[in-house]
Amino acid sequence: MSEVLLNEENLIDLSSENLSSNFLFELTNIIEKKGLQKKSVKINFGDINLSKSRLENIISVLKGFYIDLIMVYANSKMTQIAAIESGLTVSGQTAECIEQVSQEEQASQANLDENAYTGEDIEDATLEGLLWQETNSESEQKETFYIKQTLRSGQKIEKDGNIVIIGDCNAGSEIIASGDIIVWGVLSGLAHAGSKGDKQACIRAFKINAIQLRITDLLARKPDKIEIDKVGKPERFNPEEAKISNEEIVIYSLYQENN
Amino acid sequence: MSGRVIVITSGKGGVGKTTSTANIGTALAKNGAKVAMVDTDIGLRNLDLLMGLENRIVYTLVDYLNEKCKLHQALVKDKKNPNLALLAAAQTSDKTAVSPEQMKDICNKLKEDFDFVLVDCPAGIEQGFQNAIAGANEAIIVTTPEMAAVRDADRIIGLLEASEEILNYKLVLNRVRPKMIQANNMLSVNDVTDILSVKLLGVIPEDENIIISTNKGEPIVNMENTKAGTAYNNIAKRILGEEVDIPDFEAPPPTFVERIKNLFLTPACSK
Repeated sequence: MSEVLLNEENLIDLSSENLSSNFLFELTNIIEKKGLQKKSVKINFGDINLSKSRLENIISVLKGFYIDLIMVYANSKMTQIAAIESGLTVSGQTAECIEQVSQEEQASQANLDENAYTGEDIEDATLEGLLWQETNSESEQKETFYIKQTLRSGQKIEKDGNIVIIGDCNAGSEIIASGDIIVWGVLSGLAHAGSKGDKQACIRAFKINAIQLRITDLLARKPDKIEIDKVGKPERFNPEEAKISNEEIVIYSLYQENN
Repeated sequence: MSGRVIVITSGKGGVGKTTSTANIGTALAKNGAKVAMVDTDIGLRNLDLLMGLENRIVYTLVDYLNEKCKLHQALVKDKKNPNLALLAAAQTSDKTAVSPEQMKDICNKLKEDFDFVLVDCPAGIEQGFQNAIAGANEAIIVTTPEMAAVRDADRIIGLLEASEEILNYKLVLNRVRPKMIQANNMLSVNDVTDILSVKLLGVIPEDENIIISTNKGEPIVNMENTKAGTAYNNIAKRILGEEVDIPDFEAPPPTFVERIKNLFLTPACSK
């Protein structure tokens, strides 16, 4: 797979970024600016230290854009090991020796990472986990409020429980629930799930177009876009789910594996 | 006789509420209906200017409420059409001079004598807006294809839905530029109706003649062959119950070759 020739345009350079909570947003910004959706890319992580779970996070974001990550450049030993464990091709200043070392290390690391998934397992886990992971979650014991109306700008719904809305939630509206939020329509307003600290809480909608998503005390904002934002309804929806993964809000496309 | 009371509102300022009131009112009157227009933008009145009736105002809405005059004395007749009357707002008071109950009372009195009472609403969602919608049973929401205007229209629709008096509301999309929509640089008509999920009453294309008409104090529906004037006339017909198609502003105009083809094809078909 490394035989595929790539031009510089398909290289995402993150070496100058710092590993703040905005890291994933910067990544999506770059993808959108360069129009890299559905392409094969290389990523340069520079000196950034990434744990394996953090890297898996990035890979799942890329999957959401249908991007194939074919190579990783990293100077950090930790990132290189994480990438190799995830089954990625790694290149860096010390990549070659690292690869040898890591194979030896993997045996000893395996003891430490008993709970960690291998790269393949993670893929299955994310797919199935989307729907079935939360069977024992707190949200099932909560009261559910069923609201059948279009939520317009300036309207606010705040409930102790789950909220189901049949209709769109337009920009400027607010939904706050201590449990899950499910929108049978386009979510463009502000949604805050798990407002009382339920980390299993999630937000599901036909289309998540929200300016801000909040789950517990975590916050995700919409990437800054350059072009006009067309909010028109597509002919087919691709339902999305936002939930916490490794202390960050990640939006999963519920359809991705079928495409 | 009990007429229809329609409030024309938008939330955001400068999208064409007053222009729409003047033109829809004039167009309805031209179709034979008796129309009263009420300007509720007290302190910032404009409707009289657009109608060219500024110099004829003796009494205003506030004068009537203070019992300085009778209602029919405060109604200014239009220059051209005797079916059309204007109840002007006071320029020297502010919105607190009127209460929603008083507005309701005025609308109820006016609808005894007129087929249509058009209420021109001020921008914003405060007292002025509450006054304007108090007496109305129907609403026309004016918006432009810009995010800010659409957002404000959405807010207004939410407030109208909450009001029990308003039974019916429709959307007028103003200042549409077909070329910008075709170039994907402007929200299209469908984008706006998708966001707001409201029925469309009409689409007004951007027209420089509007500026000429407002400066002259002559509604554009009285001018011959203008894009905006035709669109307003069609809106009036739709309010009166006629079925007039809304033209598709998003289809690209025929190319040069197509136009030449049409030139040759038309006579061939008629033979």
